[in-house]
Amino acid sequence: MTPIKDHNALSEDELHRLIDGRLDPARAAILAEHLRRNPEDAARVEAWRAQGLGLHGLYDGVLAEEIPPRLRRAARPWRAAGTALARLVAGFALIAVGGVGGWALRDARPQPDARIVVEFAERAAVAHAVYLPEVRHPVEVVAAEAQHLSVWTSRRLGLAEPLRIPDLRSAGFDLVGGRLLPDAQGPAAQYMYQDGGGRRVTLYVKHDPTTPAAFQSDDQQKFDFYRRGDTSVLAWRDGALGCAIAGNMEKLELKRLAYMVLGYGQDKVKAR
Amino acid sequence: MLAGRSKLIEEQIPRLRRYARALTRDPVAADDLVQDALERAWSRLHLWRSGTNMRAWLFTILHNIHANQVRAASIRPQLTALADWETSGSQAPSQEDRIMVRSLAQSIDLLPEEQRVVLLLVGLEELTYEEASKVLDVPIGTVMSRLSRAREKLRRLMAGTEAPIGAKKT
Repeated sequence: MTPIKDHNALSEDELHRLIDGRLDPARAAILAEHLRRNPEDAARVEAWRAQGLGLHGLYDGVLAEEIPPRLRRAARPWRAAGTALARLVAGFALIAVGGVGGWALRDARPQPDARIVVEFAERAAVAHAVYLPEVRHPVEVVAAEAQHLSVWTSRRLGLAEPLRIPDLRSAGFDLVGGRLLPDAQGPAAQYMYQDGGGRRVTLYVKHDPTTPAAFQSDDQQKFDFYRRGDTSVLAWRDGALGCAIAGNMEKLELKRLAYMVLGYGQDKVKAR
Repeated sequence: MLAGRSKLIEEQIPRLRRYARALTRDPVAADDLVQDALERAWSRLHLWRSGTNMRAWLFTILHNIHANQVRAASIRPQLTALADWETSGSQAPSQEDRIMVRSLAQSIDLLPEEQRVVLLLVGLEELTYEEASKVLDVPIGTVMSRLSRAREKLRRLMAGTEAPIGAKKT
């Protein structure tokens, strides 16, 4: 269909302008009349209009969702900076008041020590690679004894209460079990999961309340990403826990699992 | 002054999220994209002229980041990841609606990227053709022809009168 100068002729563009509400009313009336006499054009226009309604049906729900804190912060970074400063001041205040100890200051130190994170992620990657191919002894304690696994590893990590081992079943990963491993200054726990296709991911957790907040982010939704050969690692800090999840998969898929570990809709790993 | 601008930026977050969700069809990747766009907007805020269209400016930034990612990865998220949330919308559509809508979502996935983007900017975000032309940095005539091809192809895909050439496994 080509645009013609004739007053009554219409162009394809105008049909789109009509459904997008970008046509003046007089012209819209002429087009409406045209459509009444041309059922074929009318059917096309109706189908296009239905596409728009369908799109809104699919995605308008997003508008009603609560805005995630990390996006609010990204929209006003100067306020986030103020918060960090306040925390630093609070850290000093604690020491000044009670002489409570150095950890508060270290915890508030704004410059993360990237080396610590890299080394931690490295250890998680190596531990993953070591037990990934194990057929007979992938874990020390099997998932059937999950409660014992939780109590045992938590006690050895020095946690006050047993941590809940994250449930990744909604992503298709069942818990295989876990084991204790030597980390830099003490034990770390490794929990292994496997999906129906035999793919394995491992969650590596250590407890170290005195470590500087090397990779602590405000809402713990920021991960540090590493790749070592085929193995991807996402590391983050959750309170006094250092966590890293390793798997031979793309970053995005691993990230989805990491969110699940963090408790987005699932049980949360947490030392209480 | 900063407060005024950050309010303008913040107001656009829901729509940026909706657009990003439709683009990536993955809630986590979509919010990552929005966060990247917001952070980049702040680093370039001096380039935004007061009184001009903040929405178009933010959509432009988001679009460019996404285009780079698509170029870099030259892959799209897989259809299989969608099923979880696509039909679990708050609308609770009837069975019939759901079938229609699902086939719409799948059909959109079969559009060429440049057509898909125009369809979402105009059909979902209701940007004017002029705004879409600015966001995509193409002439209005190009926006119109892509829109036209997108809607027509989508109609035929949904009517089953066009074979989804290059269709991926579903």
